[in-house]
Amino acid sequence: MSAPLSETGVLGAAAVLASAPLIGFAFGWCLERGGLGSARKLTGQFYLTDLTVFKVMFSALVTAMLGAFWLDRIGVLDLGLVYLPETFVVPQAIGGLLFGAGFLVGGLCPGTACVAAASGKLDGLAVMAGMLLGIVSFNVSFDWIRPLFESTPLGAVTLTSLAGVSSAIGVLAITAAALVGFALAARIERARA
Amino acid sequence: MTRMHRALALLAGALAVAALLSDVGSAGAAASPSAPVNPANYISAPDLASRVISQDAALIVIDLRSRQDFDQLHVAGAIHMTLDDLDRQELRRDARIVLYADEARAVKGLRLLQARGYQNVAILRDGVYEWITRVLEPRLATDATATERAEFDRAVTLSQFFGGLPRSDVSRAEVARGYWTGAPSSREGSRELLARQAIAGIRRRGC
Repeated sequence: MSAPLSETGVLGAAAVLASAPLIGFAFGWCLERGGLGSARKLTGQFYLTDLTVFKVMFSALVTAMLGAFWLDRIGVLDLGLVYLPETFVVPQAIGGLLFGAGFLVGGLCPGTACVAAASGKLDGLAVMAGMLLGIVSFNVSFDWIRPLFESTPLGAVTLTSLAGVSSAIGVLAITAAALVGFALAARIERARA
Repeated sequence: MTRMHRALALLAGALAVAALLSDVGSAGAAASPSAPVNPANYISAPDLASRVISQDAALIVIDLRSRQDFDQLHVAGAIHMTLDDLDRQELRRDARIVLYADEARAVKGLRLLQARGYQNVAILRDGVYEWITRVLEPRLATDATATERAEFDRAVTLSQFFGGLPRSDVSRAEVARGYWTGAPSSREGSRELLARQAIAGIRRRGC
């Protein structure tokens, strides 16, 4: 097993840092090519007039999930070493709502704001400025927010470990949900067109 | 829907179904990681520390966590390996092997070595968390029982050997809990968090 490259020591810290901007640029390019640099397209998601966000994000998710699962199975990637962020139920639910509200108002999420700004859109720059302001105010007020931030911890959990099923069942369920979702999305878009 | 969309959807569906089939295929294997571990295959941190101190030549301690975690802090004398290394590398047949990582991973390693015919393999159950709280930084509560005092006295000797920092007269809340205190085992995540905080503390002190 040689991946994850940083955890198994194949890539040193410097190489990992150097790979970050490359992955970042590739991510941005794919978002832009997927059409997610446009706030109009993104907000269309909320009004169910344009389901590009759902389709792009869910295909990325299913591709990554199937890729990671099978690379682990054939012994190239050790999923046990992949960092799993911890779950804190209440603060993350509040954060999710805030994120959604910001998304709807600004029309962009953090990644797509950078993409929009890079392609010269002023709203992208404005959302990026708001994002920076948010980061600074979060850090400045962190001592005050901390009790909430650290409340309701669940540890590093996955949906499958919570449901007590194997990861393969999770893979099948999510792929099935995605395929049904894509078919529904196509139908909704056709009906609205 | 274009032809390519259809082909991709078909591919995703096939890979997902194959995932489930591969799971069913491996579920019947004898070395199932979910089977309970024989209590004889566990070693406590103080017992492991005593063996390290006595320079037990047959002892091999293997850290199965990530290289970064290993570089930050590991059990004295431990070597770093991935599960893949464990699967391929030849260890001395008469070795007394001790593995640690998070429990699921350590159990995986145990099963792997047992399947390869290694008889003398044990797991340090709570890994680095247990090593820190019972060997490097043992604590004694002001209202400690006689048993706790006896265990602390033993831990102080171990701790001093490894350059740790034993502390007595702390409040009950500051004493780490784990399977050895009879407390319900804390969640994996919070135990890892505690271990990270402890490692950060040790690094700040420059040990």
